[in-house]
Amino acid sequence: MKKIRYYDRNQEVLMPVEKRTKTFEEYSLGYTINLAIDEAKRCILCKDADKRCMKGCPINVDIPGFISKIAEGNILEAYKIITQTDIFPSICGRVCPQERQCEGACILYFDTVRNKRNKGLPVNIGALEKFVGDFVRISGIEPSVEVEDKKGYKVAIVGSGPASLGCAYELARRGIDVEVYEALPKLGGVMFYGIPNARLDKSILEYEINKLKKMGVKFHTGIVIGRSVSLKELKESFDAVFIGVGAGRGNLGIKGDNLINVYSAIEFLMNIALGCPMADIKKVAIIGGGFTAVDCAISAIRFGMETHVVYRRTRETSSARDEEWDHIQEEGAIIHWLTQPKEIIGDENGYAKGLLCVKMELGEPDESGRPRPVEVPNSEFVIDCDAVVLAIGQKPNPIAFEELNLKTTKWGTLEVDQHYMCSVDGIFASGDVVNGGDTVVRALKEGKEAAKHIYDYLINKFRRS
Amino acid sequence: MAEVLEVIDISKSLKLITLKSLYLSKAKPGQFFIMQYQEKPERIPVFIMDADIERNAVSFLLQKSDDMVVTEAFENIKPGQKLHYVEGPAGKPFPQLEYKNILFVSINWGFAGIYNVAKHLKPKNKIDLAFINSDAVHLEDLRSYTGIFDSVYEFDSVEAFSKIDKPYDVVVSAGSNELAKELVSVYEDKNVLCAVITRMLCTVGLCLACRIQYDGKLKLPCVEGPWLEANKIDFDDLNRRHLILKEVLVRSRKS
Ligand SMILES: Cc1cc2nc3c(=O)[nH]c(=O)nc-3n(C[C@H](O)[C@H](O)[C@H](O)COP(=O)(O)OP(=O)(O)OC[C@H]3O[C@@H](n4cnc5c(N)ncnc54)[C@H](O)[C@@H]3O)c2cc1C
Ligand code: SF4
Ligand code: FES
Repeated sequence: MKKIRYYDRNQEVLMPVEKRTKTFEEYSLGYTINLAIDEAKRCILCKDADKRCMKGCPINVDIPGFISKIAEGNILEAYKIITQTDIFPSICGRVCPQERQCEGACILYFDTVRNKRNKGLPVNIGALEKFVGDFVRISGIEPSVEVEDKKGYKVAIVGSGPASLGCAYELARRGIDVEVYEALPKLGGVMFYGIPNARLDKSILEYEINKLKKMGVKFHTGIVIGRSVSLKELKESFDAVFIGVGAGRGNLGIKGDNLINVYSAIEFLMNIALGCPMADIKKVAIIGGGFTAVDCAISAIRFGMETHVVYRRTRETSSARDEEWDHIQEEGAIIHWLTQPKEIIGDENGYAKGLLCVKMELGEPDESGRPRPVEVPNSEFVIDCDAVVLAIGQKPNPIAFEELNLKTTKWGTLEVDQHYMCSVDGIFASGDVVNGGDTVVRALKEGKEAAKHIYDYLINKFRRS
Repeated sequence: MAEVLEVIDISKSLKLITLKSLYLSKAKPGQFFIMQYQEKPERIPVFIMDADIERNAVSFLLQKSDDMVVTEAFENIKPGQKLHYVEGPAGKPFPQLEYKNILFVSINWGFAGIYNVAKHLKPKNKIDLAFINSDAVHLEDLRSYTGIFDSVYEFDSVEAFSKIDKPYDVVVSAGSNELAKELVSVYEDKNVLCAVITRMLCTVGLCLACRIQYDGKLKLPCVEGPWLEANKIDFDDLNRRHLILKEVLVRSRKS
């Protein structure tokens, strides 16, 4: 019988710390083909993978299917298998928190059927997926996408994040004309203006978007729906509208947040992504413990800033990719776990000069079952800094849809029915603007699902009339 | 990309530029847009002075400043060129007012926003203009556009501005936060609307870069402005955050 390789998980090659902290180039260099084939051979190709890794994957990629093809050396076939469900393997392989998704449900690490921890390390599914996407892109192979005959309908898509791109792909594939309206100069939503180049090279995004262009999707940048063009006008000129405006609106809400050099995470990251000038910052305190906080830290370190991350909970409760905490720590970030920021302190000219914090400890569980952090008495201290970045909370930006009074929830997210339709006929939505903020892969999946319902809506409407 | 159709020198520091752009030409009075001249990423917000839907054209005033990016655009812009990027129309259109006496107060490039709004309000309102001369722009430079106003007054500085004692219902200013602040104290009893100037980055209401304190709450002029009630604006906060930050950024670009 073949011996199960529990422990010898292949890690991706990383750029040395002293080099990567000086560049915004990607620091995770990925697998060589030999490493990929070796890692693929660790997979035991579970017959019930649909109850394991595939169930853990939000978009249900046929994981043993594509991994078995890598093991055979047939990378193109592996690509075809992945892209049946996940159209962006190079992106998802880089940005998905696999340890909480497919890898967290890999039998070598956790037996989801018996619900108990196994002894090994999971197959490196993320690195394999990234390898397949990169291999095809870099080789210049252009896998063709079959596009059905035109159906004679046109759909407008608002925003160009993963939900919108997923929706655009699925509609274009089914022969629907698609036009995407994006307010910002660059396409990709948070994948462009949020996630730094060091983690997701912008050229990959461009490559994926070009694929959509080749399928006939038209993109318009610089159009703010709700201001440049109204949603009502869009609805009148198209057969259906999809809203994928995300929930990326920055958040504030701490005493001192109007001091100079206090930024929302989105302002901080967008400044860098768009190449706008940055104030000269020496020491920054980043408040938050999710993807956004880690991305701000990655960026701050590369600008040579002394970087503090302040999070009121522990690493286990963070939504960011686990390994990235290790990466920023190696790069010199000072991470203050179980620390609650209380106030940003300013100097006499109105500049931020420190962050007053208090230490926390874990207390009784809250409604979600997680231990609630409680203040440690008399543990206040100040982090000396000249800038503060708030990477906490997020909410949808209502500009696109406020005018038609679409129904929203108490969190400001759009209310949709089981077909992703909003309270106005013919207007659909998904991604962060509906789910309140989650992951790229979930947005991608929900965008594709919404497209299927939009398609049905158009076909039925046509039959009726 | 938007093609430059025409460039007219108004003064040594001010140009009137006409662009071809289908979307911008649909702008409503009081809206602005973002331009990026060539590759330089800095996003410059500019008021739309006139929008001509039939020609797919919009015009705006570009004023030389201490900001390198603006000055570079100012010095090099020529007909036939394509601007790297435009975004908009952005912001909320000017609120529709009817049968009122309106005083417009303008300084520098602010005249573009004032002119556009005034032209549209003229048929149903009495409109006067108070123009504040600056080193860069004098009333004389813009004479060919002031004919739409019922009366025109001229002042040599914000400090020299004095209350015009006529029955105005509303005072509207553009071109300077300092001017708007001054108008609030001069016209205590009047509604003063101003086009607030802040640093803008996303222009969609995502990044909060433009945020101001308004009636004790956060307000985003990029999507909720630019026309806001001046007496509700915390000008001290605005000047501190935005003017100093602007200075810092201009300095960082030079170094
Ligand atoms: C800094 C950061 C890092 C993240 N890192 C990760 C990660 O590593 N892995 C992961 O899985 N998830 C990550 N996330 C979460 C993930 O990015 C989101 O869940 C996902 O992008 C949501 O996709 P979306 O399509 O719903 O919206 P978005 O990606 O937010 O896209 C919305 C788009 O709509 C545009 N828009 C908004 N209003 C208008 C309007 N009125 N008119 C026209 N256009 C408009 C916006 O400009 C934007 O481009 C991160 C989030 C942030 C903020
Ligand atoms: S659970 Fe792990 S070992 Fe089983 S098929 Fe999925 S990746 Fe392979
Ligand atoms: S400029 Fe980004 S919120 Fe106004």
